[in-house]
Amino acid sequence: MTEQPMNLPYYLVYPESQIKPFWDNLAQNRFTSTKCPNCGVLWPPKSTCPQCGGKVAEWIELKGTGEIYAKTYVGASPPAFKDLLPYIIAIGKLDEGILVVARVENAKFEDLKIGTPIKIKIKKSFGLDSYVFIPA
Amino acid sequence: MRPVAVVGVGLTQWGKRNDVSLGELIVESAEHAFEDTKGLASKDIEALYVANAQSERFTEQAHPANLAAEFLGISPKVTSRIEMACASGGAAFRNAFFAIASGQANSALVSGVEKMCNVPSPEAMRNLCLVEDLTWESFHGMIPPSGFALIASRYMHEYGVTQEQLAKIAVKNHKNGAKNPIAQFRKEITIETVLESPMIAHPLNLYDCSPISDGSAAAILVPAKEARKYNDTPVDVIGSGQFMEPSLNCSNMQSLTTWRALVNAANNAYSMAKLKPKDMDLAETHDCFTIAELIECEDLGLCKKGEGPQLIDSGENEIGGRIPVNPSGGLKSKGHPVGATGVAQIAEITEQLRGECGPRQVDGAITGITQNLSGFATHHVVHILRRQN
Ligand SMILES: [Zn+2]
Repeated sequence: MTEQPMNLPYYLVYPESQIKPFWDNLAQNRFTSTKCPNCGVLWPPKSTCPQCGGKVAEWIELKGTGEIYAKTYVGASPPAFKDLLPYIIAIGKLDEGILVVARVENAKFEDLKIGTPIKIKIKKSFGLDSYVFIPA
Repeated sequence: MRPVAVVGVGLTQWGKRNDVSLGELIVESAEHAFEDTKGLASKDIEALYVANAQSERFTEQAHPANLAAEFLGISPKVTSRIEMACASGGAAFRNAFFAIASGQANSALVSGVEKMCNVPSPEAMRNLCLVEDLTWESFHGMIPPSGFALIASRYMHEYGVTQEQLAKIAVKNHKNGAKNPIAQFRKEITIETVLESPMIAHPLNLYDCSPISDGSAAAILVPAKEARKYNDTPVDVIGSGQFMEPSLNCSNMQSLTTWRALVNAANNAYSMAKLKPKDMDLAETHDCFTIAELIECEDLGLCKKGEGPQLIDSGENEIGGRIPVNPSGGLKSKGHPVGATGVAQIAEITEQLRGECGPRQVDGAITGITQNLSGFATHHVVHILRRQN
């Protein structure tokens, strides 16, 4: 069995989560999130907006494209990630204006700048539906 | 609200403490704090706040407030264990401040403790990762150093700072910590030590990061009016502020390089104290990583936004400079037993304002500020202390 990075995230295990559509959509190769009527697109997806506290019910398709907002190259990690070392983590600013954290694959760290175009690639991680960034 | 003062502080030796249990570690700093007062003893304590982040994970012992009460032999009527990750100590001190200020208790003990070296360091790293957002950050390989490394990359882009300048913060804090008898690392280092140490998360190397530590710290608070009965040089708590982003992760922060939660916590503390940043004689800030101290100096108003690198180059943040930062050696050199850190900041400022710090004394210090953070810099606690007239 694949070693899990932590105990399994609640959202990934229990289907009663109110953001279950995110995982269902991801399994169908669709990258989606919720949209607050007052504050716009949210990340991570939520059924309550952390900015205004309002209820959020609308799901939207994200384009999955954007640029690097912040980046790092990780040389030390907890045991579950040791086979991936060294790896790149970025905060991507997606076209919808949200900040998303993911590893960057298929790229050299030296080639990545703040502002470098990237896109979401949906793929499994630790046996679960997940996503990474790749250069656009 | 009535005014509050600190009349006793105590610290244990920090570092690897395989010689004592979690409970014994709590007792050790509390005993020093009681000895620091004129005659207060555990039986006099009406309120107890225990700052501890992860005793369950690091020592397989939950419920540390009751553990503390048993080891100290006290039965407080106002009490809680405070868990706010790395800001537990500051948050616990703030709760004790309110317990005295509100009149609910006439004496309070704050005990900050963490015993982290019981587990192998990869497991300690994993435990610390639990503070990040499990689903949206940790699952992707985020670790605390990479969070602050992302912040550093953004700061480099927006304002510009070099790895050498960041290294100077570590060099300064080791220089100060070398003069602190309880510090985990009492060894001066050079810029090369930092730049040549292993990369943890670019641009942060091992020597840009605070260590894993065992240790505890304690502080005793009473109403300011009664403080002289218990200490010849009481230190008044004149400002207290706390603020939290509506976010566990970085995605809802308005800026990675201006920490809104810190600016707000600091403004609350300054306005309560009716003082300005220029009135501070010294600061103990949360240098979990070198980049953190840089941004903290700016967001506390000790220098202008974007001018942190100049503050570092000028040496004005050294003991003897305009605004000494982390004369204790900071988390970097003194160590970072998570729950104890915020309480130890209070202890350092208290001893500095009483003029008891020997070779690391900031001459003539009357007013000092502490800043303690947790998570992705999303939660901050700030206190302002002043020597009682
Ligand atoms: Zn909203």
